[in-house]
Amino acid sequence: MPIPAYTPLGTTFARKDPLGPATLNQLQRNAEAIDEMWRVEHFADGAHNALEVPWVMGRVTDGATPTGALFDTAFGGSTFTRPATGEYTVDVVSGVVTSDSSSRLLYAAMANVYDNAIEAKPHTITVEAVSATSFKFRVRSLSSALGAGDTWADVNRNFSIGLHAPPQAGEVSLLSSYLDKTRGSFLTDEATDWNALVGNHGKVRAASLLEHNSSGGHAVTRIAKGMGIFRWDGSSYTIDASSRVSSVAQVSTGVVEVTMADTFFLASVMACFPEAQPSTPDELVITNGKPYTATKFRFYTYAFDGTNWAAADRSFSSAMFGVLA
Amino acid sequence: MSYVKLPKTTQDHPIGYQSVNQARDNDAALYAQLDVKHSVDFAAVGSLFRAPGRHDDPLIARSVLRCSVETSRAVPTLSPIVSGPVFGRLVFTRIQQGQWRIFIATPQLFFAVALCESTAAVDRKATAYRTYDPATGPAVIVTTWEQDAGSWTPTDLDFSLVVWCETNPA
Repeated sequence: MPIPAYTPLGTTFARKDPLGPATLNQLQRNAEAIDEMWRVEHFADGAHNALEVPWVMGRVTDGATPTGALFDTAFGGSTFTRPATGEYTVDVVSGVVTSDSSSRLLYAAMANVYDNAIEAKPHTITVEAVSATSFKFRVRSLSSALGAGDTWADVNRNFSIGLHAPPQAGEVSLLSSYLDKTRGSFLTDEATDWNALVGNHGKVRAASLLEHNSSGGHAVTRIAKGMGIFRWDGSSYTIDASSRVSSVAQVSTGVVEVTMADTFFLASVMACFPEAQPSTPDELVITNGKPYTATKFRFYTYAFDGTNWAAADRSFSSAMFGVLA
Repeated sequence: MSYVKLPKTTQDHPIGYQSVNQARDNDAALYAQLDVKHSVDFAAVGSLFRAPGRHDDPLIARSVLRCSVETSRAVPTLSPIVSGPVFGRLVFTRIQQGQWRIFIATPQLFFAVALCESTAAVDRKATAYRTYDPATGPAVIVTTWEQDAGSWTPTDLDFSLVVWCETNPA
């Protein structure tokens, strides 16, 4: 069903102005339009319901029993295990990830190793969907010294993940019925009358505030608090495109600091998902990133020359997540 | 225009022009709040990216894919298991083993985050190289690498790709 058009009500009424049935009816049509638009990519209660918004997003801190932070446990990421060195399982609530007619699981993932060890060595991480409710992430690190070979090993490290999945079936509107007014109608305290208009505004308002603030911004950890494309021109880094990023600066070869426009609550509730831009499509580069302070992320890039790994400067990009102060 | 909760009426509570004005302001405030991070463009009904209600926020990924290598044919092909919201607009071409050109449906600056799948502890890494071809437009070249006997080689592997873009594609 098409979304009804939203028509602004421009009139400011004065005393003794006739209020008119059309005014009241348009208020209801507009509430329906806003409600329909919200429910395109949100559940009726206001929670996000879109492929582009990860259902499960957070950071895993290594340990014999790993722990998690940032996760919205309504969808998963509350139980973690480490069955083998460098191997971690993360649970997902049933129904978040479904499968297609070929039994292929419908998901897409992001992951980044944010451990302090990334300051010294490149790390890789991969994903495996064991089932619709269990995902494995495997972390490996270069075990050779930089400039001295290409041997890798399983390692226990801290890392962050994001798990996308297609939206779930939409829900019906929660708005109450309203009986359109006609000429000669008068308002009463019937539930389908003025009180429906007021109540429906309240329902739309409540849904809009579940994962957004009153200004319309997103207020949920599953949505990034910053993003940026950072260009290395051979001597310094500049920002090509960004949102909520203040500056970028080289710290040393292969080490870059990005300062955010906002202050986060704590560095321990921040996560990033970087991707390096290789010099050519055939170059193997790895960028890992980590929260550095409550306003900064640091990124560490390594390039492979066919024999050895070395710290290297490359253009890169990242999405940054966390809880703002 | 700020939102102010209006009381429900009772028999003894009159509704006058001030109540209706506040209801109008509330209506406008709810619309403005939605407009901040979502499309309200009724001229874009049917658009993959800009239809009313769709997110319009650089802090939310624009496209999400899970790609699987299909090896049943003589030349492997890439099959999107999950693909949105650019379903039907993405074109994949195979450059060589383990390397794919994926055309992105946006003229804007974008970046893509790639992640390899693996069912065992092996050395795998996906790289994403942004490029632009005047004839075909923007694309990302994804290379999926696997280390075998001390050599990193482009290898056909399943991977995820999450695409971010500063502004919403048309």
